[in-house]
Amino acid sequence: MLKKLLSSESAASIIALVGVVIVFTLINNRFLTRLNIEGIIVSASISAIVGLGMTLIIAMRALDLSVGSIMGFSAISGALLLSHDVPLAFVVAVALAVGGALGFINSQLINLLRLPSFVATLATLSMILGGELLITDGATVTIRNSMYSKLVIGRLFGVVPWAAVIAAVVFAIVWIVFHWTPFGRHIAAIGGDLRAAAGAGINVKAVTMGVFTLAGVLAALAGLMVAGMLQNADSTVGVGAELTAIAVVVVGGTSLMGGRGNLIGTVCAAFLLASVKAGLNIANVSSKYEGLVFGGILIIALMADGLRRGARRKGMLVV
Amino acid sequence: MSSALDNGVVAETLAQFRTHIRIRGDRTGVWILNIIILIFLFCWAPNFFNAGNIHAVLNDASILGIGAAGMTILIMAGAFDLSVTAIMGLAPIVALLLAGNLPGPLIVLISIFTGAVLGAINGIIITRGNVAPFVATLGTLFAFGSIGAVITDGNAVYVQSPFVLELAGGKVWGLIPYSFLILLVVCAMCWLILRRLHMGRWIRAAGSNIRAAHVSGIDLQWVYLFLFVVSGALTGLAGIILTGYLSSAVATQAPNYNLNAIAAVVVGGTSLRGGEGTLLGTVLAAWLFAMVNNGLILVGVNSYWQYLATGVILVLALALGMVSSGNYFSTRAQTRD
Amino acid sequence: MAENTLAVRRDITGVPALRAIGMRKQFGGIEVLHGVDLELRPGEVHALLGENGAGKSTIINMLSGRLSPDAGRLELNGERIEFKNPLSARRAGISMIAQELEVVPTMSIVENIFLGAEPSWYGLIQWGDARRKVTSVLKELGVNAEPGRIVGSMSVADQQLVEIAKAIVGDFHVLIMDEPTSALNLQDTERLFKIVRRLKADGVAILYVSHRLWEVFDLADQVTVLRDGNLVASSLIAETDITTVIRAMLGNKSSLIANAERPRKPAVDTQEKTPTLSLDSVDSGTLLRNISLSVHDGEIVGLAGVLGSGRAELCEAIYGLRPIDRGTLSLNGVPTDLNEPKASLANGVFLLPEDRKSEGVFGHLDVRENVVLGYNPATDPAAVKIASATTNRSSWRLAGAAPIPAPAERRAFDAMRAALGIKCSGPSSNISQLSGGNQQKALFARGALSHPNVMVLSEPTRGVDVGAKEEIYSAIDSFAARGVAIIVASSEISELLRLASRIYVLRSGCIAAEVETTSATEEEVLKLMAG
Repeated sequence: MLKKLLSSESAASIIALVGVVIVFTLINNRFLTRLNIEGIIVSASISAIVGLGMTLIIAMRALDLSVGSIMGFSAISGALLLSHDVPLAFVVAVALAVGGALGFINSQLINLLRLPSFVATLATLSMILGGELLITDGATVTIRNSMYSKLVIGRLFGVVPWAAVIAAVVFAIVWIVFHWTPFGRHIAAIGGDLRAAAGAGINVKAVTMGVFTLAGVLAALAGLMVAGMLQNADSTVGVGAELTAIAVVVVGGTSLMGGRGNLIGTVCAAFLLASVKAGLNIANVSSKYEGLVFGGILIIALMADGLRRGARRKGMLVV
Repeated sequence: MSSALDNGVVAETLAQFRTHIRIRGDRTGVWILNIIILIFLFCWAPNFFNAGNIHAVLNDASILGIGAAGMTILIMAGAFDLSVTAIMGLAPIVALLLAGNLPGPLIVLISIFTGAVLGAINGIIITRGNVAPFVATLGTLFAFGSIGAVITDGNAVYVQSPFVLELAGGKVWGLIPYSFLILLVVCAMCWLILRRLHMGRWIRAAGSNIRAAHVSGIDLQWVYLFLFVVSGALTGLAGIILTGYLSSAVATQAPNYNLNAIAAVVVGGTSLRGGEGTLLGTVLAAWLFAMVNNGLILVGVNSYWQYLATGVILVLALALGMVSSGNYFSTRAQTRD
Repeated sequence: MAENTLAVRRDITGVPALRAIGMRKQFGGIEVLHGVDLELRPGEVHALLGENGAGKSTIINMLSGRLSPDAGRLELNGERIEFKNPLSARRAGISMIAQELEVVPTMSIVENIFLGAEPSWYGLIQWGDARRKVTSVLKELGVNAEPGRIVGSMSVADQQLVEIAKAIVGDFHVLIMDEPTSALNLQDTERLFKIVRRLKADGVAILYVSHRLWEVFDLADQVTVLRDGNLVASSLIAETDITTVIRAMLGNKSSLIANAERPRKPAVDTQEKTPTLSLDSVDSGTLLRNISLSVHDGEIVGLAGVLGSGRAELCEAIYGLRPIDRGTLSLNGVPTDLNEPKASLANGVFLLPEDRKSEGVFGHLDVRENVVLGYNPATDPAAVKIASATTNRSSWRLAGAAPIPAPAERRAFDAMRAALGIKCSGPSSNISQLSGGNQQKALFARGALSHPNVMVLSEPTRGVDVGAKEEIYSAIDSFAARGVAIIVASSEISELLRLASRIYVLRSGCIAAEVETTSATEEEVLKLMAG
């Protein structure tokens, strides 16, 4: 069992996670306090939710660069609606619908205009960010609805943070969809071998629509949670989140070549990132070092993965 | 030879290569958009054409264009460099910290050199560490950015040297910034490499079919190392010019430079799949983006519209390209994206 | 030679399961199929034969919904039908085993088999059900793997069996089989034939496409021959024979008939001569074991073997694309480490890769660039010494910084173009526009310009039309005449018998036999290949 785990694709992230936890605990055992762990869990839950959507997209051998902007847009619209005393359930529904719609637009740019996913989502990243700035006029929207924040950083039964519950539900849904529905299997097939998938009669355009819409919904959910955590929202929410999400997916063991998706690995990597941030904080290291540490982990994890996959032939490159 | 045999021959070729028929690298999108916008500005914002304004736009375009030129040849070889955003900040900072009081040209050289070293790190991770370029440069984006933040502790580093300040500020014939001349020189160099040196052929071969490049004995490790060093060096150059323009360097002085450069390359008509590309297109695209951003300000529109404009241009340029090359209406384009 | 006029049709008893009438197809303005008719009857195996480019793939792609015809119609059980995509054809009961594997390597056997047709209950896939169906089919085909095994980790032969399994699971009454045995050994083929006979008894109409005439005559009831997009013959198997069929396939190409009667090459006298290249007890990867072979100057040696026997892998191992784990490779008696293509080329070993599309041709470069890639006039003994000094500075050259010697390259290209007869509209025409044969010639030219001592040619005439084939054979002969040692790996035995003086037969990664061509027959070699 241990051997299987160690040789699996998520090995790197699991080992790194364990290592990081040990290192930071040794540096300062305040790392293992309840407060800190909860903070990690909340932060990890949010990146895991975005990461899970990104995992499906990468499994289809595509990229979604707009998830960060969708997060921000959803945070802002959610905050605005709440400040106008719109009922919470309605706010959530609208925000998720908007996220889905933005994701749907992505898919149409890809399907109808035949744009590569990189380019299409790069364009929408920009356009949605512009939309955010125009709506907020650069200002910050504060959320005065304290019940909302409690829903994110509060706890179920006083024990488990709601954020983790939400993330767990999302994980379960994504897992079932990816492994147990034809739609999910078609995602992996398209990423694995487009020709074979088309030959098997898979409707590639329909699957594309579904995946990007789903990613949009998940990004929107994450955005709402960020707004709840910060109790405000502005156009900086989600900036750079797409690159972080890609990093999390890749460290988690999913290959950019597509065909497979390691959902568990993504969640582990999300925890890894959150732990690194929290650990540096507790060790009194400036947050400016986060990038160095996480970038280093990313590179080392992938070098290790390359080794795991077998000795490289001389001169051949991974592209 | 009977005509039936001829039919058989060509038919067999077509049947085999149906899915690989080369899409005419269409470049008309960026030209069309440039012309439309110029006409628009002529009618509704004629002050665009003032010398001082053109100077500023040319400068913006050049700063983007220099880095984008490096990105163009990288993409032609089938690679990506996401770390340029960080190098844009880090290289000038290092140069100023090490040589802030030394003569201007030396500062510029050190910035270029630092960029080259950072690019070499990228290259080594990719070739020796066996990590894909996209992911490797994603990691170095985080890492280099972090180093920049740590070194400066969030503060700005000021430029003393008049030479550096002149790179962006100076005018030739009252109109053209030195940065634009530098851009032209850079493009000429890149063009020479691509068309007149063996390395250029290796680059295009690697982008066209990396497996075949390996099989035919091309040293891919050296090609990629070269490319990333060049990309880093050019980014270091662009960075110090930007610093001169702003008269100070901060680690985050070029946010989203990586995505902007890639956008310029793509809008210019270079295919993300590699093997072919156009430096002229990249320059035109850099100009287009700079022009549109400037134009929006002149017309009096909220500067936030710039973001929307960038996205729209990206979509329009590619859509126009596809329609004019007749590719949109082709039946059964079996390769997606 | 008079055209074969056998076009006897059997009396039609009952409605054919699938009927194609007057099928035409154009690609880019050229018609490749000129009104072909085909009838598949229930319980009958109908073989479809023809050379490369005859139109077989085109017509079966139309029957299975992968292509739509420009003219003509399809009738299923007597009723007119049109297929929009492969899925609708499958749903109508037409199943196909494709020639090029259509499996997703990152997914498991069961996922691949049910791709697009996953058994589901309210949206959730019934994996248990699926696994059970798969296990029984795998057993029947003799595949020794769990349904959950990832296909990419299986051998090529097993992957082909998975492809076959995909086609025979589920409901269908027409089965199209396109070269289903290209990777299989004798045992697997026998098992497959048993399945085919069972399906036949169940009333399935079967279309069988294969190059292996003895398989066709073993299995089929009816045979149709296509040539250059036309139907030239169709008859009961019982009423014809192999020679007649071959003549129908080749038509008027008397040179090829002459080839079949041409005297074989005698073995080169190799006493006391050091082999130019030799392998000694070489192991490589998970497949190749204990390979020993040798080839001398001016000798052409053949490598025979089914897909997956290690034929392609051995070529790659010699050239440095695969590591040699044990044993030695020697050049002129000196053990040499060729661990990457660069080293091989530097030592005078050239490989013509098996799949030129993915491993040889640079689609974005023009013909001349494809040919002169790697050409160094400074080391070319035939180059006229007008070369400028810079091209001699090899260190600059290695760094890629040396300027391209355009005039020397142009001369070299023109010389090669003339020597090999490469038909292109000009040096700057894009290589993708050339026919398969001319592209192959371009790759040959690339190799010739590297002045090799050893040439390893993997499937040198794959996807090449008949005329160019002959030209390529002459080129190979002339290289040998000039003293180059040549290894030809091919799945076409006739080609090996035409070119080589000795043939090594590979089976399951080992050399099963070495035969002299003067005394060998095609049947013998095939039997050795299949085991």
